[in-house]
Amino acid sequence: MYKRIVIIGAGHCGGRVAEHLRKRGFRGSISLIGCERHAPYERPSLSKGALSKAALSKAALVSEDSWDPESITLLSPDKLAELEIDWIAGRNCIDIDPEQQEVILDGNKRLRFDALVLATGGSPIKLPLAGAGQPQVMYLRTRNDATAIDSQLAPGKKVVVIGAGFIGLEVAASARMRGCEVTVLEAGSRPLARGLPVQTAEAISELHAQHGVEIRTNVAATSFEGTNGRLNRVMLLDEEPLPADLVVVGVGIRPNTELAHKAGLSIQDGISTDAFGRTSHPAIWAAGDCANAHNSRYNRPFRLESWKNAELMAEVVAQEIIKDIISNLEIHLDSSQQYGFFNDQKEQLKDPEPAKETVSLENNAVPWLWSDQFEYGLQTTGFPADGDEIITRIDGDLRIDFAFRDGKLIGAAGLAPGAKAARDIRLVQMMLEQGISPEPKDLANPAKKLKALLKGK
Amino acid sequence: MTNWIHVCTTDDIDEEDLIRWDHGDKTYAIYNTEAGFFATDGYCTHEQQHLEDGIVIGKVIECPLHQGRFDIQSGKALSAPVCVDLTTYPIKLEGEEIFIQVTG
Ligand SMILES: Cc1cc2nc3c(=O)[nH]c(=O)nc-3n(C[C@H](O)[C@H](O)[C@H](O)COP(=O)(O)OP(=O)(O)OC[C@H]3O[C@@H](n4cnc5c(N)ncnc54)[C@H](O)[C@@H]3O)c2cc1C
Ligand code: FES
Repeated sequence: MYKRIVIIGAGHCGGRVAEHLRKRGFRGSISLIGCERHAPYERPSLSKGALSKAALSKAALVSEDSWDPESITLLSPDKLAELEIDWIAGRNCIDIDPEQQEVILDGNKRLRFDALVLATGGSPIKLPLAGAGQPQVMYLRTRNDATAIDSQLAPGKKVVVIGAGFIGLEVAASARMRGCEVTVLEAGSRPLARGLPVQTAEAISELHAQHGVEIRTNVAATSFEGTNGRLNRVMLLDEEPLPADLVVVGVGIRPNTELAHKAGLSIQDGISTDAFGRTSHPAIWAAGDCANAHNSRYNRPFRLESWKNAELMAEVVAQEIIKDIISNLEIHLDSSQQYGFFNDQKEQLKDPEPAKETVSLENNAVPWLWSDQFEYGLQTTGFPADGDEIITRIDGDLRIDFAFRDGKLIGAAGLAPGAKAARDIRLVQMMLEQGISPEPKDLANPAKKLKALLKGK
Repeated sequence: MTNWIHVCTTDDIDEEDLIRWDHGDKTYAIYNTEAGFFATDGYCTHEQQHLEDGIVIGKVIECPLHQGRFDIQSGKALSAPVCVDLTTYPIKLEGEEIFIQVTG
């Protein structure tokens, strides 16, 4: 029976699981454990508005000082209290006992669970370089990290960003908008190799160049030097040292799987789950950045690090837990002597939301994400970096690169001022969901509307 | 004071689409759906994002920023991350001309 649900990780996904459980009628206890002191919040703005201090304004142009720090809160402490979610803040979960169905928090507090959700996210990969322990060598994952970086940004400051991925380039753009002199170092041969086709990546490099950010590829940092505990330069392999007041490292994250490992769950680049987020233990689920979920549409597992994935997996996992409760109810309905138990169970589910369409990873999981840099918005869907052929469509200031593989559309990346790429990328996502692969020549032609191509016209 | 204000003609909005319409210091979204013409506030209730670049799917508007969804006719917030409904405004047609009723 499900009386106690414990969620480890009070981040985006963990917060949403708790919220969805209540929305779907769960009345038992929900404990939401997070090592951060902040109530659940959304991270995307940490590299954007939290550093640039600008929000997208009416004309989709950037306006200064309009960013509201409270805008990222997902569930405020008041809301958590209203939903009767027991938010245990600033506590680390250190172990799981899968047999006893207990989690163990620092200070040896034990909590029993009937269902456990791991929403532990990921941690930035640290650079194992000499001098990397200096306080001006920073990483960005949390609100506290963003506050620390923000406090160092000022006009004329020399900022070196290591890693030309989404987060590195967003930090670079934000620091530039604050008047810093920004250089991005990338060890690989091009920026954004993991998420974008080379054509889109070049367009983004061009955007950075126009704003005065230099992106240097095939450059490896070897150490960080400072005097009197203050960083002053980044040493490079075979090249001149680079002066720096601040270094921000964005070379990717590692999924937080230690607890799952201790609990003996199966792990493969993240915590392995089925298409509904259930791990190899029947009472334990995993969701968000830490989970490597099977996807029946693609017939393979993948681990996504995106806002949308956190949203979707939270909903799927909450739904599955509720389904489990309902099927338990049905089992116990059949055996009349168990009525006491049944009533007890029934108590746990009051006025559930009217049945909505079932969400599943299969139906909804054509990946989708966005990134904002300067006044431009990028959106991608599918797997745009995995194409063997790229078809480009230019429609005014909107650019879309479509990725084809073995003659089939597998993804796209759109870049335009503001949110102008959104609609076309959404239409491509719908094409991928429906298995529609229009002719490359039609996609390249801006006179052909994607909506018409989606409808096979 | 409540009054009817001329917005545009029916031809100005493609089928299953929307346009942005600014009036005074406010901005609106005007839709052409299978169920008729409708008007709502222009901004999403999640963040400061105009819906004009969003997509109309049947009777639903999906926000361009995070794909939050609203029912166009009732303004009801349908899926996360949006949880606050959109304000809607009455629309009337006189021939091809579209009018919206706004307060103030
Ligand atoms: C700077 C930045 C910008 C981003 N921008 C975008 C974007 O533009 N678009 C996009 O799609 N995605 C973006 N993302 C990605 C998106 O934010 C993540 O995919 C999302 O936050 C994942 O949610 P999660 O709940 O899985 O992990 P998190 O939000 O990281 O939450 C995990 C939480 O679990 C806690 N935790 C972990 N282990 C324990 C433990 N043992 N005990 C207690 N608590 C624990 C952590 O402290 C953390 O608070 C961005 C991420 C960052 C960091
Ligand atoms: S701004 Fe509309 S869904 Fe986020």
